[in-house]
Amino acid sequence: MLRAVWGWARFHDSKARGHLGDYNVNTAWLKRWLFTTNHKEVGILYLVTSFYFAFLAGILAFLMRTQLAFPSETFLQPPQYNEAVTMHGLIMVLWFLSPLGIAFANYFVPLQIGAADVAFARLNATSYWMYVFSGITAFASFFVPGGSPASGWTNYSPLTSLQFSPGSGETLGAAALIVLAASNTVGTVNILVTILWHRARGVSFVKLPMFTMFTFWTMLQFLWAFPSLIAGLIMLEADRLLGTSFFTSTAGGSILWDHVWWFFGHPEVYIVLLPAFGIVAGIIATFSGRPVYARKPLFAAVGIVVLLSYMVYGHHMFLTGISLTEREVFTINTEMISIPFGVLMLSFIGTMYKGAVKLTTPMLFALGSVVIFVIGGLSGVFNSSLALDIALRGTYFVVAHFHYVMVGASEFGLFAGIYYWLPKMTGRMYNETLGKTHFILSFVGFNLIFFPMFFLENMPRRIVTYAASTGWGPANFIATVGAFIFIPSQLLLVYNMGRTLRGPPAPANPWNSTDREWASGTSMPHSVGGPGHGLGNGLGNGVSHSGSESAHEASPLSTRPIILCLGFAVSMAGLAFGLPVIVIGLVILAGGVLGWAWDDYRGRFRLPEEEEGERWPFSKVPKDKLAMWTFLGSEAVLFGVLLGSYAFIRVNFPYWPAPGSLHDINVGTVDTIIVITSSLTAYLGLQSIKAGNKRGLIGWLGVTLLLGIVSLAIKGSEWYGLVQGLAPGAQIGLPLSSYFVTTGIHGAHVLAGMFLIIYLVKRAATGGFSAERYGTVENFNLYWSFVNCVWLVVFPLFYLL
Amino acid sequence: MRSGRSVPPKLKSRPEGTKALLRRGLLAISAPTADTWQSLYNLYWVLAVAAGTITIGALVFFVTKYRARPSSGPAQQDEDGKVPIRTVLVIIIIMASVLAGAGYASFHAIGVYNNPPNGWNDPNALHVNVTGQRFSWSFNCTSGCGVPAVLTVPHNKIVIMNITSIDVFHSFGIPDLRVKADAIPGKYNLIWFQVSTAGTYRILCYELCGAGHAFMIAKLVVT
Repeated sequence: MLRAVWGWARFHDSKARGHLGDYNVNTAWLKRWLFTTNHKEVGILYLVTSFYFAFLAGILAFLMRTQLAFPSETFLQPPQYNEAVTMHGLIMVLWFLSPLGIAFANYFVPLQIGAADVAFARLNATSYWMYVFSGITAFASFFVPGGSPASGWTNYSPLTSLQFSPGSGETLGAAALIVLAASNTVGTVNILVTILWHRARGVSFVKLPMFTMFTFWTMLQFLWAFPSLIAGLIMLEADRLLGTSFFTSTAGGSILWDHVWWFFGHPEVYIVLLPAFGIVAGIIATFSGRPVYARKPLFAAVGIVVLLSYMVYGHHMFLTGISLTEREVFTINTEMISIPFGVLMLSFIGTMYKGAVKLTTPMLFALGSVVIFVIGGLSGVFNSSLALDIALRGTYFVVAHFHYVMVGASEFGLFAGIYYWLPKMTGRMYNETLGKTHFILSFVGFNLIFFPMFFLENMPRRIVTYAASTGWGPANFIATVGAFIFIPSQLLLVYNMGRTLRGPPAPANPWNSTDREWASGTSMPHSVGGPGHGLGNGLGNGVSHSGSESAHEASPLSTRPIILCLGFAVSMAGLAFGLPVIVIGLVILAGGVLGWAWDDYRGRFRLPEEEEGERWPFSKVPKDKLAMWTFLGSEAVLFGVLLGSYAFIRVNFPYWPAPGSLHDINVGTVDTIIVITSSLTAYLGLQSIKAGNKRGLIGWLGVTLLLGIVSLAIKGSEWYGLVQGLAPGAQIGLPLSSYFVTTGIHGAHVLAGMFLIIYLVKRAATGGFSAERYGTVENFNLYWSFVNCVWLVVFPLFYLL
Repeated sequence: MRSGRSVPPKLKSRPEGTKALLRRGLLAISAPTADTWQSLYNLYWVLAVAAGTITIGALVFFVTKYRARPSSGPAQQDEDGKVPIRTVLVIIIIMASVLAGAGYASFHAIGVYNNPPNGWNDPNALHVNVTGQRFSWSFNCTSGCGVPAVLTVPHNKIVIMNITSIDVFHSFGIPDLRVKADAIPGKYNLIWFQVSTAGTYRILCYELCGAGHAFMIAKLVVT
């Protein structure tokens, strides 16, 4: 199987090898894949990598089902089982399912909207390499003393605290999650801007192809859900490494983690599901020969799902002791979210009405996804009930429910996408019989695993074993039989994918789809070797059908993303391995960032200008500015969650010190005035360059930098005083915990801003900006003002109240 | 009058197999919480099976009816862009009313869980403090309710439990009685139950709490 996956990577190199023929063939091949910035290649990398992670997590599933096949088995020891159950969940959800969706988004969103590439080619590679290194970091946690995280994928505190999980695996796992969340944020900004800003003429927003439309909504969820995870993980790492007490105190503790985790965790469920449904919608339309039924209501329904997804997370907390009113509201919201899904089902099924349905492999998987989702969704209504959840919470009923939704509906939908787009990605046809066999085995195996679990509504989740007297044996045995069918049958998919590379050439539009990615602009290239030449000859990185599609070797290489990401991941892993590793990581990171800035400074990384297309509703906004606004949207959630956690602790902690007793109000006021002034000076710099005054820009930026340094120095002295007052070795109390983390993260943002200023000054000095070209200065202004606005909220909360 | 000890033997131990499950829906349940829960659960099953049958049935029907055949021509094309607003509204209204009904039934059921017959401070009830610790449950009540890991209560007695934890997040559940509450350090969650038939019931932990999670089992003995 590994050979097949490897072959896939090699296959997609084909054209690069021809292009870079002067180099040694093998290094050119490697270079292409390591430094690529092309959206198709990054898409392929995402796809292949996510399969590796699925393979790892699948093995864990195999181990768990083997352990649970019979009562009182001792195949796995409890700690091993807990590690398996935790890493299986984390890897499958975060390193397999959502990246597989991102893989398709990378490859097909630009094709579907007629863009030459994604908006920011290097950022695309950056998000991929962060994903890879985060996965390696997470997997490495198996091999550190104490083993990998073992508190369930939800990481419920205080089990994750240093007291109960003393090993460094938990620290490493959380570090990996931070890197992954950063990767997703970067990728999200990129794909959102791509969809908003790079549509070709005629691709209006409401006419977006199904997959792109669903991806757009999914990206909004990525954007606003993952910052909450980052905030929670930062607090967790601070607890574990610096001795703060967010999740070990009773005022914060388990409930605070629940809020922070599920504000991320529940939207994550839809993040996994929606791209798959976008694929399903497109496939059903294609293989019914009909346009998507109720297209506009479908569009609205997905939007409502996205909005509501942030308002239902409390159903994970029904038994934590939240008030009855809260539970009732969350019950109603959760029931409400099934209504837009009803519209989705209506649209999917209605599309087939009076159609000519062809049951090819992609269609079978798409329909399988819908059927399984109906079962999974209906079982979700059980869990939405505050009364039924009393008995169902923490049982295998829940396990059955979310596997139906996440594995069944999502994975089947994504697999449908693989079969559907294989001819596009490889230029060759997969084996239909193998595909159908794969579907039947998967469908039967899947239902055998998870349907019996609905009847284990008393069996606790995540138990390593059970007594025979419980009567849970038969259902578990059936589930294990199902797993032994389902998991190995996935190898058929990998085998089929490998085989496709040698398969018969596919026609340009094998499914008679009307979507743009199949639109035939040019015919198949003739210069390639005929069938039978095997891997690495040939049809290149997919077949260029449309004129807008760029040949992949045209996109430039960049060594910066992989270096930057390696540095970031190493420095984060250093949280578990100690200061030297952090320093090494930061050095590598600095190398990547400096190289990147150098490329920009010298104008080395240029992408061809694109013809202006549909940009509604942002036709007046420059691309970089739109990206900055999008990024600030996610930053707002990050600080929102940090300040929300502060508010939560503040309300629950009875011994909060009076204003002025912990922090000097006068010092804080001076600092605040400096912060406001620095916003003003930055703005004056922008005005100068708009008037063409280069020296004015440099002068005002210099003043801004100076004010930033003074502000950081004031905070530094405050920190120094507070740290001096701490008892050595003792836990830091809640008021100071939240102060340190919030101002610390804010300070890090100020620091990043100061590096930006240095870059701007350097560039301005060499005439990089003019009255017409000041976009970067403007974006810096946005960032700087945002960071300062955050301080205007932080200051009254911590100093005055 | 029936003595508490003369229990029909088949109720003494309650196997959880599928057969027992099918039976339980029909049996008179011996506790108000379990009773309420079970009837609500049955209602949801009926609704879910109905909705699932209709939806999946429609899908299967469309696939068979509109299956492309070599003889049949291409799909009928009609005007694109017409929004079938009426169909969508009908679906929304049907779903909303069914869900409203289900929600109402749930809100009704939670009333039973939230309101012990004589209030939470009922002086005649047996008040038990439950503490979760890795990896056991301890019970503390004024009148003495048994040895560690075994809670002994008289039948028909209203039992009010105040549940907390001293280390990590646990979840205290008595599956047969359909009662459960999270045991969280620093928080106190109340549940109540009343069992009219004597017997032995399992008490389990429903939140991963470490290596001994599966073995954090206690026994409820109703005499």
